[in-house]
Amino acid sequence: MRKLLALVLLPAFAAGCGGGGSSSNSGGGGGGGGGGTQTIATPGPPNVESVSVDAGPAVLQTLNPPITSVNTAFISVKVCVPGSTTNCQTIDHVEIDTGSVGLRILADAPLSVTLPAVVDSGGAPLAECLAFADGFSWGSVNTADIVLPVSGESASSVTVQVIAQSPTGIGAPQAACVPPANSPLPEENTVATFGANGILGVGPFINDCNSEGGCAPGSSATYYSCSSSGNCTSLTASLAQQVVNPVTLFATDNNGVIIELPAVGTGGAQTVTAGAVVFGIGTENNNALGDASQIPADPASGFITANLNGSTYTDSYLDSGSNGNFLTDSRLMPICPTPSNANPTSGFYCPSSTVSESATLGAGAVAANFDVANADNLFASNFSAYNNLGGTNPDPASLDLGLSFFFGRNVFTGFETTTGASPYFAYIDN
Amino acid sequence: MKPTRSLICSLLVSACSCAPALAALGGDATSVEADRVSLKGALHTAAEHTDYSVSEIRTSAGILVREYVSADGQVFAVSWRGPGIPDLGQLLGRYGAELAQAAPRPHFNHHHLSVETADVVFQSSGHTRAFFGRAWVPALLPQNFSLNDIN
Repeated sequence: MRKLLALVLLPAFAAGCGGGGSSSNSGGGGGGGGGGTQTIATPGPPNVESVSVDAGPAVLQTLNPPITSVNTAFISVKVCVPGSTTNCQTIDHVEIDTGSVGLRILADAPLSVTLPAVVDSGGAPLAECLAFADGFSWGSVNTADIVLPVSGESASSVTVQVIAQSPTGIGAPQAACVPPANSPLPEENTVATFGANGILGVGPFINDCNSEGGCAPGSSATYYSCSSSGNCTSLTASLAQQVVNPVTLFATDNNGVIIELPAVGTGGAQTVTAGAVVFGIGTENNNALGDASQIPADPASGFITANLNGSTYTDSYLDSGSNGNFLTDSRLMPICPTPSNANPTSGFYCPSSTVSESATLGAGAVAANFDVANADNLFASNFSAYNNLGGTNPDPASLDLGLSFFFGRNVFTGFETTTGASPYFAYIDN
Repeated sequence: MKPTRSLICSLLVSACSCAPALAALGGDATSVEADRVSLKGALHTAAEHTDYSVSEIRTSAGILVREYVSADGQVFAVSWRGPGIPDLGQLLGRYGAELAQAAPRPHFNHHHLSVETADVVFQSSGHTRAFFGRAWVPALLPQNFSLNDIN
């Protein structure tokens, strides 16, 4: 039986001013508050969106047992039929994810707007099988006008995926997207199995499959064209047909995103609602890199290099869509015993006492310090935000800094561009 | 007895119309060739170590699959690395069903999944463009084998 816990108000974070534009806030400036000097932009036009780390969409609480989302940052996104300003719907609890690319909405959110299909040269509607590390999502490829409701940032005719939508006749998931009975990766085609009403992938790439076009089947983004009878065959997708990072299509503020979450204490927080997502890097008076060092990312994989405990971790990442910090380190053992209702996911660490890790990122050796606490002790509170969750990483050369790392920091994701700029990450520590 | 290894081959073979006799994890070394055919891949290299060897298959999608074969000729571990996830129903062999049964209910981390049973450990990770995962059978590991070598 989960206990209801009072919201814990965390001291010592600074809600800085810095929203731009017509709001009452001026740019720049740091807030006060004990010890923290983090500047978090105030949501509003032109480029600052609200973000919430909370228990997730309401349907998760109706599951048996109920599930409380952990370390998932949610925003709201408004989608419209292209060209319309009235045939629109605002979708809440869309996960913001620097580890994927593209806007995807679950049909059973429910999505009530009928978005037009993307079709191939013969007029057949397209579908996509998207692989995540933990499952597969199948759905139609559509276009939408997108408006971020608080900032007002917008883009037209954005290629998106509607997961499990089939009114355009795309048919049931194709074999490659229905994991066989002997695979541990399930379908994730409902809000209950996906964990959100949608996902906004703002990873450092423009398209989800590749950057040069000619997306052949077999990668994590496989495209299909579907006949009216519902039979779908895989195709080699052009750049225009691929699902796109919507931020790259904003008129301005389109070269990256900054996720700014206030700090939480060692016991976590039930929710974190005072954060912001800032669009653009160096484009407004509230999104300069400032003292943050750029950490170059591999243009093909997005990986950054980290150093920890004398070893180089060549396949590292800053991933708001990971719900903890994931690495291989025997000092963090043991792995929590499973299963338990509090922790349905296996692979988190349960050290007997909290371990402090001191990593550095990139050739410039930017300090990246984090703690890993006993996950089962943390989960006993049934909170949604913890800065000290850690788990195993199958790649011994990977340090994946997830949302735990983001609390108390402003984390920049710099996109690749069509004119040859390479992707990068950066962050401001506090 | 040293496992029989396919010779280095640069041919890409289209999928065989017959079902592969055995699937990889827990299978014997001949299942490596079955996997290569099923995954539509080319067997590129094999590395030899004292107690085990590693065969590599690069699928037509550019995913690198490694199969770790013990001196007894059994595939004790598999790994994959690349822009997607290969056919796990093929790769996990007879361990796939129990992993599917044991997989935790919604976990809501789209970039990491870890499933462990009494017989087998499965780990999957990745973000757009770069995935890595592995699985192994603890009872079949060679002596003094480091899990860091499943990479």
